[in-house]
Amino acid sequence: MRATAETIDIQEILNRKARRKDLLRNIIPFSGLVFIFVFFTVVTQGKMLSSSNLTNLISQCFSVTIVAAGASFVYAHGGMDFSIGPSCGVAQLVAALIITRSDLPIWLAIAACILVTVVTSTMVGATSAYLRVPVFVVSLCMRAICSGILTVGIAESDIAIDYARFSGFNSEVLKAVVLLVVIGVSYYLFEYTSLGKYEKAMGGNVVTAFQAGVVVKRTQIAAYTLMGLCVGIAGFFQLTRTAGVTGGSGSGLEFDIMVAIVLGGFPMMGGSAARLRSVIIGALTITILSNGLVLWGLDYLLVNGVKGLLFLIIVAITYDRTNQNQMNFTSA
Amino acid sequence: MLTVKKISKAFGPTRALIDVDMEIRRGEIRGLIGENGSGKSTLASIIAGAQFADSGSFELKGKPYAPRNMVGAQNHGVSMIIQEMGTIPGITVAANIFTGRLEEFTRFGFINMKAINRRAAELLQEIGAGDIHPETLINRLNFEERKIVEIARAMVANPDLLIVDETTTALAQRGRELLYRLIRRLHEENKSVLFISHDLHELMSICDTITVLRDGIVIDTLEKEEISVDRMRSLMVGRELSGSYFRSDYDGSYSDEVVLEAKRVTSGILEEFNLELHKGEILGVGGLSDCGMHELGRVLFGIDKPITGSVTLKKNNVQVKDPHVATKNNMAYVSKERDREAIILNASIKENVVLPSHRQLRKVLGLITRRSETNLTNKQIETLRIKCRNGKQICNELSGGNKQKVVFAKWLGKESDILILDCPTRGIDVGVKAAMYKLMTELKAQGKSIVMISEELPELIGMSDRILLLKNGRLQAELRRSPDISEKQIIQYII
Amino acid sequence: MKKLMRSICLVLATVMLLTCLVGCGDEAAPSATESPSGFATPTPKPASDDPGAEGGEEASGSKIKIPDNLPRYRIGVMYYTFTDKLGSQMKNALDYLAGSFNVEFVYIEATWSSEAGIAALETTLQTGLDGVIAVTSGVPFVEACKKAGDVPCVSIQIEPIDEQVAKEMAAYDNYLGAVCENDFQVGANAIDALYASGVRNLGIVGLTPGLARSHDERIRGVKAALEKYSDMKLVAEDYTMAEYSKSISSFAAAYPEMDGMFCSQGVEAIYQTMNTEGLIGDVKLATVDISESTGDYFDNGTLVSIAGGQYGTTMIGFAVLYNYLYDGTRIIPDTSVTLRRPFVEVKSSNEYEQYLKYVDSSIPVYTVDEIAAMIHGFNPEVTFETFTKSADEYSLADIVSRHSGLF
Repeated sequence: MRATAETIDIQEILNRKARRKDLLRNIIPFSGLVFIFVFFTVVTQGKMLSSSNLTNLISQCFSVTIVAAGASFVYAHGGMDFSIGPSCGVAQLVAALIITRSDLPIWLAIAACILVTVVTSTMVGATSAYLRVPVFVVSLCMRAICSGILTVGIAESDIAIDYARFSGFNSEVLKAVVLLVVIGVSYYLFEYTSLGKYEKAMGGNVVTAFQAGVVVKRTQIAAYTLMGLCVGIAGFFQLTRTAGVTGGSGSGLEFDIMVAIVLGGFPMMGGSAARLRSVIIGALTITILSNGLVLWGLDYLLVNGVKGLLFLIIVAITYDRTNQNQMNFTSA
Repeated sequence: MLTVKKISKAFGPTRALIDVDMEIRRGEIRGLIGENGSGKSTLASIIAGAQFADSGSFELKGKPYAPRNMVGAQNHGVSMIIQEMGTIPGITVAANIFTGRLEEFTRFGFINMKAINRRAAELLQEIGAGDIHPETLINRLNFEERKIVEIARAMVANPDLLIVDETTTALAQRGRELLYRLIRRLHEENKSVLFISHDLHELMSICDTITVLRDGIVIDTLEKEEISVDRMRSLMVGRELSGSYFRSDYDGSYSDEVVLEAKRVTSGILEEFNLELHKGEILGVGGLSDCGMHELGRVLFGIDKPITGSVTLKKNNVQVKDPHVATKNNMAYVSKERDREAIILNASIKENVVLPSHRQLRKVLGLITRRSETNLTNKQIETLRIKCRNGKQICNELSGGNKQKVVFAKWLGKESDILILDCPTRGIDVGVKAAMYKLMTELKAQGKSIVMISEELPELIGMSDRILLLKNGRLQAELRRSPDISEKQIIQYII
Repeated sequence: MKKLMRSICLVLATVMLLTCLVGCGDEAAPSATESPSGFATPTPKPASDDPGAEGGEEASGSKIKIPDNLPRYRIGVMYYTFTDKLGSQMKNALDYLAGSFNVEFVYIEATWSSEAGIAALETTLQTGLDGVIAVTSGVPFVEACKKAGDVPCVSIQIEPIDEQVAKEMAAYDNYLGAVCENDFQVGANAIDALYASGVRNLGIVGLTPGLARSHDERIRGVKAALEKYSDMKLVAEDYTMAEYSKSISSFAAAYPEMDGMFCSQGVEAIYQTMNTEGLIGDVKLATVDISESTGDYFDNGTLVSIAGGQYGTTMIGFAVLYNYLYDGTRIIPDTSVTLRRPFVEVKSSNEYEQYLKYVDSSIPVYTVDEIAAMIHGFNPEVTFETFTKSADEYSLADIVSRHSGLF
C-alpha cells in the first residue's frame, strides 16, 4: 500500500481547493450588486448615496423585489409566468374601479387587487398542471386575456384615483416594512419549510421528487399562488404610486423578473442551486442599474448600449457554471 | 507491448489514479478490475487517448506513446470499445464504423460511399457479424447490435492493443461469443487485449493475468494460477469479506402476515398479475429485461396506474394510488434508473436524503431546521459509509456506488417498512454490493418486507426467500429458497 | 484555456466600458452649448437688424433684446422616446433654443410604463433640476417635482384626465399648467376636409382605445364631426393596435364602397398598403403626423389633409416654464385649464413643400426671438391673452408669414 503521508497531504490540498470553490460560489452573487453600486457611486460622484436617492430606491425596487420573492418559488421548480405584467394591470384596474366607482372601504380594494392576481396565477399553474400544457403556452394565453381585459377597462379613458387619499401608501417607511415582511416570510418558506425544498427538488428532478412522495401538482400550483399574492401586493402599491391605471400599468414586470433572476445568479431552470437571496440581489441590482444610469446623465442614445454592456459584465461574473454537464469517466 | 509509467490523474479533489505502473506483454490478455472509483475506466480512457494524464508516461512497442485523441491512438494501434453507448444515431452502420476516418475514402471532396460500405461489410464479416448490413440506419439496430458495430469500429485500424471497457454488460449471448472469439483471435495474432469487467467469472475464463486497482493504486497483478473469485473480491475491497457474500442462511421463512397485495394488475406488458408480499420476506422477482418486472415495481409503488386491478396495503386497507400515499404508509422505491429517476444529481446528498422525510422533521409552523437535516444525513452517511466530503457535496460528484448508497439512505432515513428495489446493485462494485446484501438481511430480520427486482440471477438466488419468475408479463414459476437452485434452472423458465 | 478566454473577455468588456465612461460622462453638457444636428443655432440678433421677422403676435416682437448673462437653468424634458419623429423634432427644437437661453436640457426617456416614467423622473430630479417639461400628467408627477424642492413643472401634449384631477394638480404651487394640442379639433377638421373633397363613406383606423389619449381624442373629434353631415356615413372602423396595414386591407376587401379614410396616425405602412390594395385614386385620406411619402400622396390625389408640427407645443411649454424661472411670472393664471393649440394642417402639395421648408428644416416653428417675445421678463407686454391669441393663430400660414423673410 502506498497511502503515504505525501498522498494524504495532496488529498488535503485538493479538498481545500474544493472548499474554496464553494465559498467563492457563495460570495459571487453579491459581487455583481457590489460592483454596480460602487460603479455608480463613483460615476455619479456620490449622488447615488444621497438620502433622497436611497429613499427613492426603496420605491423603485419595491415592485420587482416583492414579485421576485414570490417568483423564486415558481422559477425554482422550473416554471415561469409571462402573464404577471398584464394581470398586475388588471388587478390595478379592479382596485381603481372599486375606489372610484363605489364607496367600499379601502381594504376591500386591496383585497380585490390581490385576489385578481392570485386567481390568474393559480389558474396558470393549475391549467398547466392538470391539462399538461406547457406553462409557457398557458401563461402566454393568460397574458393575452389580461391584456384584453385591461384594454377594455381603460377603453373610455384612463382611470385616475385620488392621490392625496392614498398618499399614505407611498410612504417609504411603509414600503420598507412591507418589503422586509414579504422577504422575511418568503425566505422562511423557501429555505426552511417543505414548500421551498419541494420546489427545488422538483426543479432538480421532478421524477425523483415524485417518487419520493412529493405531490407534484399541488406544489407546482402553490408556487404560482404565492407569486400571485406578491404580484397583487406590488400592484396595489403601483396603483397608489402612479395614481391611475393606463394601458401601460404593470407592463414589463415579467421581464424585469427574468432579468433579476439572471443578474442574481439564480438558475433559470431551478433546482437545488436556487437561493431566494439570489433573486432579491438581482432585483436590487437591476433597480440600481436603472437608477444609476439616469443619475449618471448619460446621453439617452447610449443608455441602452451601456445597460447591455454592464449586464454582460455582471452575468460574466455571476453566472454559475459549476453545474454544467460533464462527461464523467470515473463512474460506472 | 505497452508500458505504463507512473500515470496520475485527479478530477478536482478526487484523485482517480496515483502513480500507476503496469506492463502488458504482446499476446497477453490482461484483465483490469476494481470497484467504482478505483480508476480503471480512467486508466483505460487515458491509454486510448480520450483523456490526458496529469503526469506520467507511456511506452508503446518500445517507443514513447502520447496520443492526442482517440483517432490518434487508433493510428498507433490502440483501440477502445467504450462503456457507454458510443454510436452516433441518425447515420448508417458504415458511417459509424468509419467515424473520423472519412478522409481516407474522400477524393476531390467526394466521399466514396460504396467503398466505405464495402469495407464495412468486410469488417463486420471478419468479426463474425456478417448479418449486419453496413447501409442500415443505426437507429434500427438494437442495443447489442450497436455495441457490435462499436466493436467493428475498434477493429478498423487493426489494433495491436484492444481495450474492452465493460462491454459485456451490453451484450447478450451472441454478442459475448463474438467478442470472446475476437479476443482469442487477437491472442493468436500475438496482439494484446486489456479487458475491463465487473463479471469476475468472465474474467477468470478469458484472461491470462488480472490487475487489481483500488482507489487509484495498483494493488496487485495476479497470474493465471492465482486467480480466484474470492481472491479478486478481497483484493478489490481491501479486506477479507467476512461471512458470506449473500445470505448465509437458507431459511426462507417469513411471517404469514401479508403486508402488500397486488390483485389482477395489468400495466404495460404485465397481465392480470397477482402478488402477495409478507412481513419479513425478501421476494425476488426475475426474468428477462422486458418481462414486465420493472412495470410491476412501478405499479406496486403507485407510480403507474394499472389498467385493471389494484395494489393494496393490508395493514389499513389503503390502495396505493400514487407515491405520496405509498410513502405516507412507509413504502420505499428504488428505481432502476439511478441517475435519471432515483436521485437528484445536481442536489446535495443532504437534500436527497432528507427529501421523503420532511414530515418527520417538521416542527412548529412547518419549520425544518438545518440541524435536523444534518443529523439525519450524517447518521445515514455513517451507517452506510458513504464516501464523500460531507453532506453538502453535490451528488453528481459521487461514484455510482455511493450514489446508490445515497438512494438507500433516503429510504432508510425514513424508516420504511416495505421496500421495492429495482436492480439495486446494478453497476455497483463488490464491496458496496456486499454491504447492501448485509443491509437487506438486517432489514428482513427487523421484520421489514422487500421486493427485489433483479436481472442478476446470482443475486436472486442468493438473497430471496421466494423467487417469482416472469415471462411476457405472466408468472412462469415460483421458487422457494433452497441451496439447490441453479441459474440454468431459472433460465429455462424465463426464456 | 477556458479561464484565459474568460479573463480576456472580462478585460475587454471593462475596457470598452471605461472608454464609454471617458467619452460619455459629459455628454449631457455639450448639448447645451454646441448646436446639435437639427436646427441651426441662431446668433442672438439685436432687434434692429432683424428684417421682416415680424410675427402676428406682439408688435414689438422683433425688438426684444435678450439680456446678456442669463442665469443658467437645468431643465428636465421627459417624453416617451426621442428617437421617433416627433421626439426628435422636439429635441431638436429645444436644443435650438438652449444656447440662447443658457439652458441645459436633460432628456429622459420615460418609456410606456407609468411606473418606469415616475422612477426616471424622480431619479433625474436627484441630479438637480430647475424645471421639468414632461409628457405626463397626474398628481404623482407634480408631487415628485414638489418633493424634489418645489421644482416647477409643465405638462405638454397631455392633460389631466378629468376635472377632478385637474383641480388637484392646480392646487400645487409648483405646477404651471398644461399645454396641449387640440386632438379633438384636428379630428373634426379632418372630417370637414374629407367631406369637402367628396367623401361620403368613411373608414376609420385607430389605435386601441385607452392606449394613447391623444388618439382617442382625435377619434372623438372625428365622430362628433360626422354627426354634422347627414349624407356621410361611417362604413368601417378598426382599432387594432399598430396593425394599420391589416385593417386597411380588410377594409379594401370588405367595403369597396369606402371612399375616404381617417387614420389616427400617419405611418408609412398606410401608404404602402393603400398602394398594394389599389386604393389610390379611389380613396381619400386624412391623417396626423407627417412623414416622407406625404408629398407623393398629395400629388396622386390621395391625401386631403394631414396634420403635424406638434413640437411647437413643446416650445410653448418651454416658454411657460421659462417665464416662471426668469421672474416668477405665471403666464397661465388658472392651471386647471389647459392651454390648447391647433396642429399645423397641410392640405396640398404646395403646402407640403412649405411645411418642409418652414416646419421641418433648420429653423423651427418659433425662432429664438419669437420665444423671447413670449417671456414676460423680456417683454412686459406679454399676457395670457397674447399667449392664447398666438396659440389660436398657429397654422402653416402663420408660420410662413412669420418666417418668410428668414430663408
